[in-house]
Amino acid sequence: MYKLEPIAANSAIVYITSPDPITATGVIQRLAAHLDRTFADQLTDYVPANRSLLLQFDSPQHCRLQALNAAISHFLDHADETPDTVSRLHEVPVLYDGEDLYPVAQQTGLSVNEIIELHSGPVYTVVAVGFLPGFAYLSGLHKSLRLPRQITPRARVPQGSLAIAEEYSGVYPQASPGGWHLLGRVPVPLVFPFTDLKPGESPNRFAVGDQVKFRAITGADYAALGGRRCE
Amino acid sequence: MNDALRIIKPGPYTLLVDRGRRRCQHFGLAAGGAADIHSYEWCNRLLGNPTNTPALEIAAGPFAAEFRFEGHAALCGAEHNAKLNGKPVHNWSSFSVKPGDTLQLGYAQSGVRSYLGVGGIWNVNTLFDSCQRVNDNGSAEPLAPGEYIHFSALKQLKLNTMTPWTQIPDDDSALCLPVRPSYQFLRFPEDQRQALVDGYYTISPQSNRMGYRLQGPAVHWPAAGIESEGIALGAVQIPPDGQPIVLLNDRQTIGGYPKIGCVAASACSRLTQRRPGQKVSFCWLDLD
Repeated sequence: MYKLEPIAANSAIVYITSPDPITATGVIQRLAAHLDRTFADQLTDYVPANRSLLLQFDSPQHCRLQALNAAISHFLDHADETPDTVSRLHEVPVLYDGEDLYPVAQQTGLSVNEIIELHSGPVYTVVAVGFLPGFAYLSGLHKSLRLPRQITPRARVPQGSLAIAEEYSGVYPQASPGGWHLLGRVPVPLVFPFTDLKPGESPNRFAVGDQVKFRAITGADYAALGGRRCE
Repeated sequence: MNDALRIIKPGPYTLLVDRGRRRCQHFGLAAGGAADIHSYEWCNRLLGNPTNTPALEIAAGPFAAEFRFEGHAALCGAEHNAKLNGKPVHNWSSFSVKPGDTLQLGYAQSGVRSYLGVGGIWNVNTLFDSCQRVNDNGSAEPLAPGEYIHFSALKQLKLNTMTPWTQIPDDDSALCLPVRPSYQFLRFPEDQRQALVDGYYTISPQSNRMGYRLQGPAVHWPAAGIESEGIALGAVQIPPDGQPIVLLNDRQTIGGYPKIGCVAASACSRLTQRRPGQKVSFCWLDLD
């Protein structure tokens, strides 16, 4: 099930009303690819998120709800026949030494080792990319690790910080202000220089629909993988 | 290809712009694009350039550059009391230039941003179909003093052109922003929707190409946060303090604050020429 709503003269949003966010992510990812093919050059940009897909057209004349509804219904009717887009599995090394490990332990009543086990256990799904270029919202966080965002965000979260908030995990691809709880550091880059990109190529390691598994490493591994010292 | 513009004084924030990047927002990268698309497009139209030709977006001033070619340039947008070799040049017009000519713009007297174009083919790198420069952290990279921007100027003799006066906006006048009800509009209570259009809002100094922050009657959202979703140009975001933010070209691609609707794109252009302290109001766009 879905809802299509006009947003502005040249944009519309599709809300997927299926209950489970990970199923919705798969549908949104495949729907985006389908609409991208169907409307080719008229569609200038699209933004997939947890349960929605924002569509932006090059002119109001090309943002036609009837044609969009037809394309979306057709896609959903034949969704079973569309093969799943190949989703990649990334194994991401983490040094779990974040500044907020002890505060998180206090708030959750878990030990640091339990936090590491619960956090590195699941396979996460990328449900959205945004906030910063390359910042992926990873769904699948264990229930006992879910905490509200910090009341006062940090002015600067170091590049590579692994953090959690609400039902998500994320890694800051570059230093930025941020209100998530810091659990550790990732030594590998998550965004690639724009100057090296080929046309249409993604600057990000993670794309919506990808799967991510974290692997705990030692300080020596972290240094060997080229990780930066804590800033 | 030795034709160039040498930046002497870029001012506080001068960018190379065009209509913006395409197909990059799903990577988390903003589309960008000239903030006042109306003035930008007139600048290229006066020069006979194809649409989407680069131009300089000069915010606030002062600015100075030297022309190192023979041909035409044009200036449209904010009133900066521009001078070519010390003599006034008309805003919203094209003018001929020769090597060694120096253009100077003062502080903006009215409006915020000026667009400076040259007639010809620009020799600039592109990323996602746009000339706009971006750091790897996604922020725009302004022009630096002493920089050269290269292009092949059109040499053939061409008359100076001007924008018809009906197309020149008055950015000192009152501005009502037409909002299309969308996103979470229906979930705002009737009296809160009314609050948005009843009063006047003052533009905050914390306004930029990402968004214009407005101060005035608070609009309250009665529920908790929403699921993060894609943000369209002109979206009117209502943060917990109830002070609306109109999200513009360099906005974040997704966000979790409720939005009550979207300001029409043409009005977004006019808004970006308003200065901190100026007042604006909202009105609902009648779609029938």
